[in-house]
Amino acid sequence: MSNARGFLAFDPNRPADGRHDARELSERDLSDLGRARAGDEQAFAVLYRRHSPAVFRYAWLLTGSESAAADAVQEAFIGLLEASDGFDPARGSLAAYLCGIARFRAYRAVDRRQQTVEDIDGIEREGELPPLPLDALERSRALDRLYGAIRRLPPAFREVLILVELQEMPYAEAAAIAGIEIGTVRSRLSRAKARLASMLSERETSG
Amino acid sequence: MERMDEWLAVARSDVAHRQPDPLVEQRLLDRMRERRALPSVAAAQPPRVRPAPHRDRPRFWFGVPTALASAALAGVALLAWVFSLPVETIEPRLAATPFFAVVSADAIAAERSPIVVESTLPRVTLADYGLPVDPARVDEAVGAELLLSRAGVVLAVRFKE
Repeated sequence: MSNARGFLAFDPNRPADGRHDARELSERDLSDLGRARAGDEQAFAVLYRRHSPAVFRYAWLLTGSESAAADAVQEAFIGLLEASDGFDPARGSLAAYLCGIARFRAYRAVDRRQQTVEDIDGIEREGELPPLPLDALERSRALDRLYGAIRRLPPAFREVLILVELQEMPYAEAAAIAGIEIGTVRSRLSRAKARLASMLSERETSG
Repeated sequence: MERMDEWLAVARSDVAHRQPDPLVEQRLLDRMRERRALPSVAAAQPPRVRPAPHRDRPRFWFGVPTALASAALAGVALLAWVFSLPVETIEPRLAATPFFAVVSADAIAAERSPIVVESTLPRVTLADYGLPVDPARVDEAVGAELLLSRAGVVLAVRFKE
C-alpha cells in the first residue's frame, strides 16, 4: 500500500487458486469506485455488496442497533460516492475507510457519556469463562450476553476487539481505523479480552 | 483465554450472517439516480420558445410562406424516402469521443499513475458533456472509458459505442 508506484501494477505472482490478495482487491475497488462515481450503477452495486456486510457488522457490534448500523452503512457509502477527495488508498484500504466513517456515525448514535466515564487504565482481573452451551437456545442466550458485555467495554477496548477478533482485520487496518499505533492495538486487544472474560464470568457466577 | 477464543469464534460465525437491509442498497441507488438526473434533466430541457408577438398582417400574407414550407416539406419527405433515414439518426453514432476533462488540467497533470477502466454509464450522461441524447434510447447505457486517479477519482471520461 505504501508503494504508490507499484500499487496498480499487474502482479504476475498473484495466487492462482481464486483467492484475491489485498493488492488485487484494492485495484478492483479503485476501478469500481471510479465507475460508481461516474454514475455506473452496476459498479456501485458490486462495490456495495463487497463491503457493506463488514461495515454493517462493525456498526451493529458498536451500537447494538440494526437501524443505527444500517444508517451508518448508508452514510458511509454516501460519503464515499459524494466526497471524492475523502478516500486516500495510500492511507489504508477502502474497507478501512468505510469502517472509519461508519465508526464516526455509530458513535454519534450511542450514548457519549458512557464512553467518557470508563477507566481503561485499570488492572484487568482474569475471569474463568464457562464453556459455551451445546443447546442452541442456551448458546444463543450466551451469545447475547457476550454481545452485551462487548458493548459495555470501554470504547477503546471495544473497537479493537471487534475489528481484530470479530471482523478479522489485520492489526495495521484496525490501527488505521481506530487512529492508534499497532502496538496499542495489541495491548488493548489483550486487555479487552481479559476484561470481557472477567465480565462474563462475573455474570455467570451471579446468574 | 482458550475459552474466550472459543466464545469469540462462535460470535464471529454468528455475526458473519448479519447483512444490512436490502432497502439500504436501493436507497443509495435511488440517490445516485437523483443526483445524476438533476443536472441532466436541466440540460435536456428544450429551450423555451417565446411566442411571436401578434402583428397586423397584409392580405394574402400566407401565400409565399405556405409555398416555401410546402416545397421544403416535400424535399424533406423525398430525402427521407430516398435514404430511408431511421429515427436513431437524431443521435449520431459515437465511434469514440475525445476525453472530456472532469477535473482541472492541473489535477490531471499532477496524477502520476492514472488508470483507464472500461465502464458503462447512463445515456443521459452524454448531455452533461454537450452531446446529443436520443430520447428513444435514454434508458440504455452508453460505453465509456474513465481515466481514474489512484484514489478512484474520475479525471476524464470518453464515450464510445
